Amino acid sequence: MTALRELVALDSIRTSQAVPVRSRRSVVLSDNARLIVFYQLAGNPYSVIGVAYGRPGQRPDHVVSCPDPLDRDAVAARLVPLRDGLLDWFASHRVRAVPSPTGHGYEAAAMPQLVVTGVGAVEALDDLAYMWRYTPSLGPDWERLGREVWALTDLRPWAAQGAVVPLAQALSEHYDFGISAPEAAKLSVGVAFCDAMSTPAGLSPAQLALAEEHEAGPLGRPDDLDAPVWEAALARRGEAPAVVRRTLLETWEYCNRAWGHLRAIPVSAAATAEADRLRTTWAWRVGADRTGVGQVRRRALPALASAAGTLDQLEAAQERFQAAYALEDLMVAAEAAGEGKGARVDASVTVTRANRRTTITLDCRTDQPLVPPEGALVGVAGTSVKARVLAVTGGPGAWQLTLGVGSDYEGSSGIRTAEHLRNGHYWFVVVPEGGPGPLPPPVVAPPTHPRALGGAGQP
Amino acid sequence: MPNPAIVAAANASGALLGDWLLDPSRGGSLAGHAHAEVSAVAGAGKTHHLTAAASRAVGAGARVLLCAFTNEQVISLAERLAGGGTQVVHYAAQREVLLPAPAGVTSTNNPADCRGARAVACTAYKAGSGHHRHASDLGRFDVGLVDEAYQVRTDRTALWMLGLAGRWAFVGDSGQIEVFTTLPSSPFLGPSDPVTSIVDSAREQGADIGRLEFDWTWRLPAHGAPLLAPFYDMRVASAALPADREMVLGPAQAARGIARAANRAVQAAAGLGWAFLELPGEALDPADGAVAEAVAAVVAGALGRGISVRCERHGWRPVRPADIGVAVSTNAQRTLVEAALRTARVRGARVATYNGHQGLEYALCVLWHPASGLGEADAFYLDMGRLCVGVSRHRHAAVVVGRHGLRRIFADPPLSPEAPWPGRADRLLGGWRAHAALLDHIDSTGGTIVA
Repeated sequence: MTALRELVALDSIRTSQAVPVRSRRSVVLSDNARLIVFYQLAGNPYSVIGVAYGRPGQRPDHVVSCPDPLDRDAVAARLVPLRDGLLDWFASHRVRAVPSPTGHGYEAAAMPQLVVTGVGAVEALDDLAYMWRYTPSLGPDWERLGREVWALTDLRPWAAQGAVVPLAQALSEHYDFGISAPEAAKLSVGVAFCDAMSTPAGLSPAQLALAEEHEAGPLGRPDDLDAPVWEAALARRGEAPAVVRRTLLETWEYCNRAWGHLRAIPVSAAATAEADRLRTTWAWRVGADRTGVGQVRRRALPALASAAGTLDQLEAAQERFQAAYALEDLMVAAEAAGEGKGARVDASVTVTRANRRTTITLDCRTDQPLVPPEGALVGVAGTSVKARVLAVTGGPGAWQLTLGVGSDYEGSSGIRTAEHLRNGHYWFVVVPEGGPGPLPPPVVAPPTHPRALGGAGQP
Repeated sequence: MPNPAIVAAANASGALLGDWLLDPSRGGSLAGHAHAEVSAVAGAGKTHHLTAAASRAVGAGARVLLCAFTNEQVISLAERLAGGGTQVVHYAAQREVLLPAPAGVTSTNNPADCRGARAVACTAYKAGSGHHRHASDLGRFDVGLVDEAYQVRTDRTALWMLGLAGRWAFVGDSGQIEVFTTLPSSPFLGPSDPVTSIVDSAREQGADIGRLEFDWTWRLPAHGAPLLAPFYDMRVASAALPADREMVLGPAQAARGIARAANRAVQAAAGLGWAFLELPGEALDPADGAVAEAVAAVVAGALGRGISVRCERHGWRPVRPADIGVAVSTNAQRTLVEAALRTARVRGARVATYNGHQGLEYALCVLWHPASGLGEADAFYLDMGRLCVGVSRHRHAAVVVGRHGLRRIFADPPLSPEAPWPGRADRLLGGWRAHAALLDHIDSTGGTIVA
C-alpha cells in the first residue's frame, strides 16, 4: 500500500465516509445491462434459494423463490421465465462471422453485461452455468444459457472487464471506506458509506450496524435466511418462506443504489478502449458456439498452452490499461509514482525550432525517492504527450530529469500539445513499450507432458 | 575443515546428475526417469554440479542445451562451462552479446552459429523463440538443462523451449521467490496454470520426473543452516563446522544514537550469527527513512570496526564494502538506503532487492525486515521466498533491521485472502511462520538490540 492510500484510508476513518481513490470509473457500464440477485444455501453451490432479475436501476422483471433449493428440476421449472428472458437478451446481442487470416472470426456491435452483487456471486454464477451446461436432463435451452453465461464469467480476469460487474468490488475500487477488505466486500456496507458521502457527519455507528446486518453475498444469512428455507423444504410446504422474497428485494435495492453511485463517476477512456477489445474477444468466444462455424477442435496439449497464451493477453491488457488509466486519472498516476512507475515533477519547457523541425525539452526536478530510469518512455498525465527520458542526474535532495519530445526521440509523441505546456508541476507515468510479439502455442506437446500428447492418434 | 560427512555426501550426490545425463538408467533416484529435478537448498553448489554434469555430457559426445531465466544467469553458466574447458555458444539477444567474449565462449545473436555446437547456453525466452523461428539452426539437443528452474514460469516460450530436447533436467532452489506476473493474482487454477514454474507444471501434467535433493549448504555458517528448515520442509546441514568460521571486530569508536545501537547489533551478530536492530514505534509506509538510516548505520558501523573473517575457503581476510550485501523489499527502499549510504560516505556495498541477491553471497548481510512498516500481513512482503533469499546469502553473520511495530504482524497468524488450491501450500501462512521463527530465534539467542 502506498502512502497515498494510507492517507486516504485515514481520512475515511476520520470522516466515516467514502473517500474517492479514483476520479474516473474503470469499468464501462452498459445501458442494456441485466442485474441478477440470487441466494444459495451455504455449502451448496448448485442450489438456488431465490433469484431476482431485471434491469439495474429499475424494479425487477422476475422475483422467483424456490421452495426446495436442492431440487434441481423444480428449481429449473421455476426459473424458466428467467431463463427465457436471459436467452432473449443474449440473442439480442448478435455476432457476425467475418473473414480472418486464421479462418473464421467474429464481430459484435455490443456485448452483454451482467451485474451482480459481488465477486462471490460471480463464482456462484459460474458454478450454476457449469451445472446448466452439463446437466442434459434440463434440456438444450439450459445448456445454451450455461454456455452464454460461462462466456461472460470466463472473461472476468481481463483488465477493466465489463462482462460481469461485481458491484461491491467495483465500489470499493473507487472509494476507500476505511474498513477491512472482507468488510468492504459487503455490498450493503459499501453502499451505506457511499450514501453517507453527502452527509457532513458521515456514517453513524447505528447506520453501519444496520448495513452490516444485510448480507449481500450469494450464500445468504445462515441464521435468518438459510434456516427457515431449510425448514420449509423439509416440511415440503410447497412455498418458500416470505423472508426469501424480502431479502431478494432488499438486496435489489442495495444493488440499485450501488449502480447509481457507480454511474455518477465519469468513465475513463482507457476503460472504453479495453471494453472495445473485450467485445471482440467475447464475439470470438461465443461466435463459434452460436453459429457452429469455425469451431476449433480442441487438442489435448493446449489446455496448458492456451492458458499460457491467455496469460500473455491478460498481462498485456493489464499493462496497457494501467498505463492509460494513470495518464488520464491523476490519483492513479500518484499511486504509480509511489511505486516508482511515475513521478511528480516541477518542469520547465524549452521549445527549439530549427527550420521546420521542432524539438521540445523538459527539464524536470523531483524530490521523490524513486524515478523512472534513463531511456524510459513516459507520458504526461492529463495530456497526449509522451516523452523519452534522456538523462537522470542526482542533485542535493532531488533528481534532475531531462525529457525530450520530437522526431529525434523514438517513441515520443504529442509534440503539438507539448508546445503548449507551461512551466509547472506535472505527473509523469511510465508507458510500457511493445516488445517482441508473443509466440503462438506449440502444436506438439513438449516431452514433459506424456499424458497430454498433441499428435493425432497418440494414446 | 568442512564437515567430512557433508563433503562425502556432496561428492556422491553431486555426481548423480552427470551419471543420469550420460545414461538414463543410472543416477541414483533419477535412474529410469524420463526427466530429472534437482532441488537444492541455497548455497549447495547446484550451479557447480550442473555445469560439471553438462561438461561430462558434452565430453561424452552429447549435444547439450543450458537455459536459465535471466541473461546474467546464462552468462554465468557459459563462463563456468568455458572455465572447465568446454566450448560453449552463448546465444543471446543483440544487446546481450558479450564483447569481447571470454575464452571458450562464442557469444552471438545469430542462430546459425548454434549449428553443430555441442553446448548452447541461452535464456528460456531465447530458446523458445529460437525453436519457433529458427528451428533448423538450433536443431535438436540430446538433453536440456534448466538452471534456476523454479523461476522459469510456464509461458509459451517455455513450452516451445521444452520441444528442443527429449530429456530435461530442472535444477533450482525451491525456496526462492516465486515466478512473477503483472496480474494481481493468477486467474488460472489447477494443472493448467502457466503462472507456476515449469517444474510444478511438468509434475502436475504427469511428467515422469526423478527427484534429487541437495540438502546441505556450503555457504551458511553452522548457526545459520537450521533457519532454512521452514523454507524447504527438511533439515538442512551446513558443511562448515562451528570452528571453521570466525568473525573478529576491531575496537569500537565512540558513537551516539543510532550509530551506537548499530555498533551493538554488529557486535551481537559477530558473536551469535544473527542480530535484530529494533527501532521504536511504527511506520506508516514500508519506505521508512528511519530504517534506511539505521541500515546505513549498520553498514558504516561494520566497516568502521575493521572486521576480519576466517572461513575454510578463504582463510583470514578483511571485510571490504563489496563483502556486505544490503537486501530490501522494494526499489523505493533501495533508493532510500542508497541515499543514506551516500550521506554516511559509504561506497561499494551492494544494495538490491531480495530477488536481486539471488545466487550471490556476502560475508555480512544487512536485511531490511520485509514486515517493517506494514499495516497488515501482506502476501508480497511476507513471501517465503523473499525471506529465504535474505537468510541464505551470508557466510558469517546477518543483521536484520526493522521497527518494533512489525511484532504486531506476528502476534496473530494472518487470514489468507483465499484458500489455497488443494495440494498446494498456503504461502502467506508459510511465510508468516518462517518470519515468526526467525524473530523467535534471534530473540531467544539474545540477538535483539533495541535502539
